[in-house]
Amino acid sequence: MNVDEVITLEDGKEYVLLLDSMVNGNRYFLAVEIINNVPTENYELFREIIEGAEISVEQVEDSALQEKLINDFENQFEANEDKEEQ
Amino acid sequence: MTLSEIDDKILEIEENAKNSLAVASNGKTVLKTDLEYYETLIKMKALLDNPDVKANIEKYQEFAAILGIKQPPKKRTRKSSTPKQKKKVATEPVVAEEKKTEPVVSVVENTESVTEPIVKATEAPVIVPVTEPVVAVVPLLNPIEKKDPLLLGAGEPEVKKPEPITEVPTEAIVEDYSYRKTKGEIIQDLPLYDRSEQKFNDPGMSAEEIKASQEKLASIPVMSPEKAEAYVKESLNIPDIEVSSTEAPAYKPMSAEEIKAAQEKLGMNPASATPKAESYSAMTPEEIRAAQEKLGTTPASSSSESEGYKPMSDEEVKAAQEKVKSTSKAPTSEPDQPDFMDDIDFEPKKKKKKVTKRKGFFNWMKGSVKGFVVCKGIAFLENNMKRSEEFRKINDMLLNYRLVYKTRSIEENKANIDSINQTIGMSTTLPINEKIILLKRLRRIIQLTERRNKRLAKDQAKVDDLSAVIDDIDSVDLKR
Repeated sequence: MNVDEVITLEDGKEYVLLLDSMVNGNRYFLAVEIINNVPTENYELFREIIEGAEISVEQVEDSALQEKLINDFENQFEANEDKEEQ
Repeated sequence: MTLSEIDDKILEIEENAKNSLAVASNGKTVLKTDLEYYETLIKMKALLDNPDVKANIEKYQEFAAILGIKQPPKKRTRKSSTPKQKKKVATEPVVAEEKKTEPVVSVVENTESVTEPIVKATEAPVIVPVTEPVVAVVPLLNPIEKKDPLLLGAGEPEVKKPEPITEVPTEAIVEDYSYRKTKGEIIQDLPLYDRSEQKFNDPGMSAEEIKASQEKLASIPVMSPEKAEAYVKESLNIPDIEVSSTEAPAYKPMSAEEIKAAQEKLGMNPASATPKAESYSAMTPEEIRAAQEKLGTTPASSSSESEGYKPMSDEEVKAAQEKVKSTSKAPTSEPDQPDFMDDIDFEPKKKKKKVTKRKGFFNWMKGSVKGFVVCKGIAFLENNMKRSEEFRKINDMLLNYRLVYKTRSIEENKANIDSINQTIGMSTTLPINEKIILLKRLRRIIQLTERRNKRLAKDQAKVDDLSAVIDDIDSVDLKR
């Protein structure tokens, strides 16, 4: 899976992968649910799980990890913001 | 050593011997250093010989036994052959060593005849220290002079009659004496009726006090239980309560008849009680139904299975869940009220979700649009975490500012930043970790705002330059 990709889960929901981050060898994504290609206010933190050819995602529930990921995504976002402004 | 030196030494020793003697109150000559102790012994001997005192000693010993005071060990008999060195009497044996050839007389104190020092002639200088006291150790009034060797001239014990001792033992001695004695010894010495006799033995109580307490305490061990009870009652003013054994029987469960009698006595209506209430036993389904009918509940509505518990099958559980779900989702008169049943997940939430489809890049969501979405996403996720209400409020303010600051004037942005800063600063309920996150975000937006302001200023300068150029061109044209 890659950033800016749209994924569809088994329950039919679609998400856009906004940012990614690597923590302890796991890849995490900041995703936003889209309905008819319009972003909603439903944001998720996903962990990518690759089992052979099958790819699945798991919601991050650990609050400490959530905090760490949010902080990392914020830094990434700010860095991108600075880059774009220069 | 010359002859004159020897003579000097002899004279010195003789002089010392003279000075070291004193006459005790009974007229006996003793060493000055032993005088106090000797006097004490004399007095104690006189005391102990007193028949009244003897009787009291026995009483006090009993008293001590009652109180659990350890009795002093039996007095050891002193052997003059192996005396314990309690007092350092002779410290300079050099003199004796020099006079090896001459017989030297040493003083040996015998406890049995304390009053008379035995004068022995020996060849070698024998220094026999004064042995341990018989009853107690009494400190000496005068410190022992080191120069005093306690050695008398051989064969000529010229004893100068010293002046009679008039010194009265001081309080310090008395105290010291009491301090050095064991508890048992003090008790043994206690029974003194004559105040004047208590000079050495007074542990703090007067003879009258001792007698009074002795009498009082004597009655304690012999007090019978009845006497003790009467005494306690009398002391505490406890009224007599007759407690008969029949009225306070040992506990035993009451019979149904007894319960009934008790209920009647208490004004209760035993007739209303069901016969079953008399003694508990598990009710049968029939009895339960009867009871339900009596209570007004409808036994018919309860299923036949309620008579005895039986675990539900999986199908039954599912059916019940569906039933509950369907009933809970039924429209209510107050649709705005949150339905608690919605929060209950009957099926365990599947955390892992399979990705069924992947589309290509979502290209239109780039640049500022993506920035907007990400910024919002971070703020939303942050608010979803366990944060305080105040944090959420300020976080939303920061988010709103961030989303619109580029479209606002410098003054507006400044006012907004001041407002947010003030809100954070004024907050008293914000936890420190949340405050840090918010201040970090505020710093970021200040940084972004300043950057934008600089850019705006640069742009303004460019505009000004351009307008200046235009003005120049215009002015040239005018000149032309």
